[in-house]
Amino acid sequence: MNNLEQLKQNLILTKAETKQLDRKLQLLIKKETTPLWINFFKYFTGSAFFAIIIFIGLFFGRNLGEKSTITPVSAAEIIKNSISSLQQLKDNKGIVKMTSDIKYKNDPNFNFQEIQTTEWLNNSENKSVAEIRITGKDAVINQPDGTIVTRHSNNAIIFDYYNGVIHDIEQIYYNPGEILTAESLGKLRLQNTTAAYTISDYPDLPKYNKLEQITKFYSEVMLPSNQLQLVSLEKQYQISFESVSIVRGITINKQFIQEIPITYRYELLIDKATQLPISETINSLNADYPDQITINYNFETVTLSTTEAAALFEPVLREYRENLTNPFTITTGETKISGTLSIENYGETYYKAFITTTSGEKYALISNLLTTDYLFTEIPTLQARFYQGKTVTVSGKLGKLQRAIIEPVILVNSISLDSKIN
Amino acid sequence: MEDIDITKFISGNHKTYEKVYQLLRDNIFIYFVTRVDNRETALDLTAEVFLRVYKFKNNFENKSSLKTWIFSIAQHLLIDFYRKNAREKEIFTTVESEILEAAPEVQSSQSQEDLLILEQANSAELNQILANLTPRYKNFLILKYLNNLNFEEISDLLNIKLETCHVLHHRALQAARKIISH
Repeated sequence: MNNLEQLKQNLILTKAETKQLDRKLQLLIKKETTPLWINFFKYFTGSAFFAIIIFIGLFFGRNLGEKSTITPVSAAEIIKNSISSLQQLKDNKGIVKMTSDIKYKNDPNFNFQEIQTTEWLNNSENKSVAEIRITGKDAVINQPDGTIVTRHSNNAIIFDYYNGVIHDIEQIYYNPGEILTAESLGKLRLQNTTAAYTISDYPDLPKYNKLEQITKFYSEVMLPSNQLQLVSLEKQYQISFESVSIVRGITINKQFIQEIPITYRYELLIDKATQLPISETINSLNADYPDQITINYNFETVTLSTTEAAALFEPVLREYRENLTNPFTITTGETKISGTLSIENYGETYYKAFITTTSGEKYALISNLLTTDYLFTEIPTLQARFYQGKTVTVSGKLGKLQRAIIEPVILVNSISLDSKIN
Repeated sequence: MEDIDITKFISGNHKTYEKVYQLLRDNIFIYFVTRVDNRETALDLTAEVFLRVYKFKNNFENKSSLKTWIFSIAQHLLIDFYRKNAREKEIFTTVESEILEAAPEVQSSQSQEDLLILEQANSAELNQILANLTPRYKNFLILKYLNNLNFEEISDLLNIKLETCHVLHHRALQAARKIISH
């Protein structure tokens, strides 16, 4: 190399400068491509709106303090439950795209407007990390070398897979400009938050009609720690497991109700010929609560996957749990309601699911949701969205079923199936 | 640069843009770092160049090479920078008639000989050359030997005839030789 070449080598960018330049350019381009109104909005939210929030916070300081004592739902848990099928998406497509509306429960100033998983970043340790691109107030920029750099604020959610199984989903805090690598995630993951999130949209839920997908889904993703049984019957497969479900502590009129464990048995019947689910049965094994709830699917009008079925399964189970803490008159007998499912938004915090029969009767599938608990109940409601507009049939013992489907269940003492919602 | 798909570039294909960026990143940085006070400023200017390339990629008309177009953006940015910092801008005001009038017949063998001097100069001598050359000659030699632009590209960039370009090259090398011999 002559000295001219040497001089050139001395002048070119160093590795650190190259990284600095890459980052600087990415920020400039990002800034350039952000519409003016968003910048204005950011400014607004960052100053005036923030001042209002502080004022409200000071004014209602006591109330906010009370809120903070509520046991929050783990963000990881919520997100994990609602997007557990990402694994399948990964397997099928390699690239996952998902948009969600995530709101930080106790901070209206914090609003992820969109989350999009774009790439699966692999490293040499066979560990893969899904990058979540968050637009709106915060942004995460994916670097070509697989690192992730924050743009503005200090929040990001990382979906971390290890050997193909979701094992951690966390919100992590780090400083603007700090570089995260797949390797460093382990350390940062420790800084989990108690923040609570709600996901109000999940359009890319995949279908799980095939038996092997269903079993894989439950055994690897949904219930990695539970024993799953698969029994081959004459014309059906039976998938079952037993699980202890904890009724979370909820606050009603500022009175904290403690957690109650319930052991239940879950059975899913799958038709051998079509490999479609036929029905789900939830059996409480607690001696005090021996009721059974069965959900049958009308496959002539709708094809329900197990994930979709959970939308019926979960609300009913939740009502069941809630009723345990709110005893009221129980009637008996078999009943069946068939109708079109719809989802309606009730304010910003929760949704309700309804079944409207052909005669126009409308029944709430989900009861009034408690503010402090709405995050817990949000997910099944959202899952229910995937078969809204379809005809579904719910049947079971009247006592438990009616509490699940007729509103309001918590505040009244006796209910009959004639109750309607107009 | 030859394998860059211009259509894709203009249409905003990110991969193509990234490729262009990676190919020219160092070159543009050298362009600035040899002309401004410090590397940090050169870094900012380089980022600004590629931001403008990103913003105005639709304006590229394929009349010159993409490389020349990007260097012309860098040149305009440098002029702006000098203007703001009240620096000289002589390097960009090449008076062709003046150069050609006094131009001797340029022998390519002569230029080759001069070039050898440049290549064989040690680093101290090279620094001496760059420090003492007039801005116009310095600019030319940097474009030619550090930025690796060919005569056609320099001619397009500086908006001078190809012939003038050769004369400038010859004179810049001669001036470099003189500096070393002194």
